Amino acid sequence: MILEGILNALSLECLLAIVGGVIIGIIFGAIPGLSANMAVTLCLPLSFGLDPATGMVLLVSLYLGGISGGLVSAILINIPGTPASIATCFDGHPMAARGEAGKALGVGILSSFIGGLFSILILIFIAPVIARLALKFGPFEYAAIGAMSLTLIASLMGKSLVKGIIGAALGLLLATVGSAPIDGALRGTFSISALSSGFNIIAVMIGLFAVTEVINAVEDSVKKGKEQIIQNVRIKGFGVSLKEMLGQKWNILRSAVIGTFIGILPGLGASTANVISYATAKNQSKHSEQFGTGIIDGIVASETSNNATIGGALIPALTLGIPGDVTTAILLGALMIHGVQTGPLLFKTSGVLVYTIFGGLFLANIVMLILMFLGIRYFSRILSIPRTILLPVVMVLCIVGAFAINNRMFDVWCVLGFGIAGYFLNKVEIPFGPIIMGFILGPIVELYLRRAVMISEGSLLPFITRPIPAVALGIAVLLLAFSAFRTIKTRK
Amino acid sequence: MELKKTKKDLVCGIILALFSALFFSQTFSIRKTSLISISSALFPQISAVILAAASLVLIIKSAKKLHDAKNETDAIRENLEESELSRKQAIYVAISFVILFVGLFVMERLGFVYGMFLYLAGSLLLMNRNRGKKWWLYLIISVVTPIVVYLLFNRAFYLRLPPGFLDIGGGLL
Repeated sequence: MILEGILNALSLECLLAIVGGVIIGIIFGAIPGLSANMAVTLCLPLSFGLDPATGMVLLVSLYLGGISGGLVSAILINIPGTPASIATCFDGHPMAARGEAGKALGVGILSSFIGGLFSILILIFIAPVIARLALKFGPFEYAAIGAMSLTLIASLMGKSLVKGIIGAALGLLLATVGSAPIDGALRGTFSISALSSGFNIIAVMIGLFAVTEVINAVEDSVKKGKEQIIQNVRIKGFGVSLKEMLGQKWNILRSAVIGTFIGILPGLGASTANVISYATAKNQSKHSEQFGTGIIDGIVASETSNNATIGGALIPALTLGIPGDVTTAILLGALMIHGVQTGPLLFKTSGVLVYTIFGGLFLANIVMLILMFLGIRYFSRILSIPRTILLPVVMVLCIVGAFAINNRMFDVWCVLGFGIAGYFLNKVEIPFGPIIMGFILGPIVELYLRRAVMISEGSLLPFITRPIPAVALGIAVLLLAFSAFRTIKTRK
Repeated sequence: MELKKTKKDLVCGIILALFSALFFSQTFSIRKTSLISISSALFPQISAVILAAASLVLIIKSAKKLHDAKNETDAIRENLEESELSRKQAIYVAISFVILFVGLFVMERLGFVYGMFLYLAGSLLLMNRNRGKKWWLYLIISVVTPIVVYLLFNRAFYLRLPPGFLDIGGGLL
């Protein structure tokens, strides 16, 4: 069955779908505001006209291309193409700014490939075992892991612990706007009906990152007069030596495991995995002070983990019929439209199709590596366009992306609002990473916390008596204590 | 420079503390249900309290730093040239926000192409004013980009961007 599936994926139709899907995915991923979700959603009708195997292979290729493409704009213009590449900006752009754009792209592409490969292999060989393990996670575990992740990011992302916490709390507050989970009570809407569905992550991200970047370019145009354009971006191979990549082996392994694990957990996904991996790599590094200045460690952590979530998210989706995020929900929907019954019996009833999807994903990862490698020198040429011309054009695409979220102007106005807020927050050095993570993790923590309390009939004791929540919360407390201690020690 | 940063931190702390107070007060109007023992107001309240506490720490730290600033000349040393630059920067930043606002307003009322033409033309002229007289290039970019983007997304991906008020070319103009 495995062999038959892989042979199916090697058919001409599937190969064309893979190449087309990866190219469109990379373009969607690279343009800020457009995302992997959007690429899959917009191309969904196209897959209905194809046979189930080719259609599904097209969709997973779009998904993989979309997640991978985000690194291009993150590195070159400091605006993440998708929320999955937020942490790539932190070290990728400083490297590009000092003339190492090719190397930064090369490291990002290689890391994406390795992360993707790791999770695809896990998906192919031990998916059912891991899925059963993930099923043991209940609301207490999810709430505690969410809280731990948030603490990790708040305490490690910024230069100052207080500002990191402010960022995370701001993100949490913004995430509460709209309908509350479970009972749907309206909160923080200030009687604005458009706010009843809350803010969208894309609008928040574009506002904070893209608008702030454009405004920074305006400020620079006053300060410098004429900007320096990096024109000579020569690169040999991937721009990084084997020795350098081997030096990252533990970082790669750790990030791949984090990405795959987070991918399995419903609701978290690549947008969370990249920042958590980055923060963990920083925490574990002997030269943590160099993070944010343009070192490959940060790019490796972010890009390995975000691509590792792809295989991870497909594990519960294909083995149990439980979607891990929006994209996998769309993929499951597409399977149903093709008349395939999803759930634990999928491997028995449509084994060949499942292995064709696995084979397609495996090939898509290789195609992504080849296409992105070929594209490095062309991507780098973006830097030869003056930022003062490039950024306003990118902003137009961002506005399209914000409008496309719900086909309404409200989200576009939110971009302006978050842009103004982002400009001032940037001035006072409040890091955007914790804001975004608070915004993503807040609803997850709240949802599972409320579910947990419903199950335990009001008791919070299981947070201490159950092993995983107890360990996760213990780590969160230790992290905060460690960061506070480090801050005090540095001041002395 | 350090003193200026501390002052900024102080103002930021005060604004964020006020913001958290506003948000906290808003939570009292949240509808309560007997479905769950944890009220829908609890999470925003906890978030607001965390924000208020962290803002308070920032306020105290900055106030202490300002108080401890022994060398008064630090404040005077912020030379005139620098403040002149900041003032100029602030004006240009405000103008670029106004350009974005106008662009979005026109996009909503008259259509995507018109709004984005105005935004691009305004931003490109503002940001490249030191780059020589290449106004024709900026004009071409400002006209071509919105048209290409509109046609691409409208025709290839069936994304209905705000159509032009003249309803020419399938909503293009």
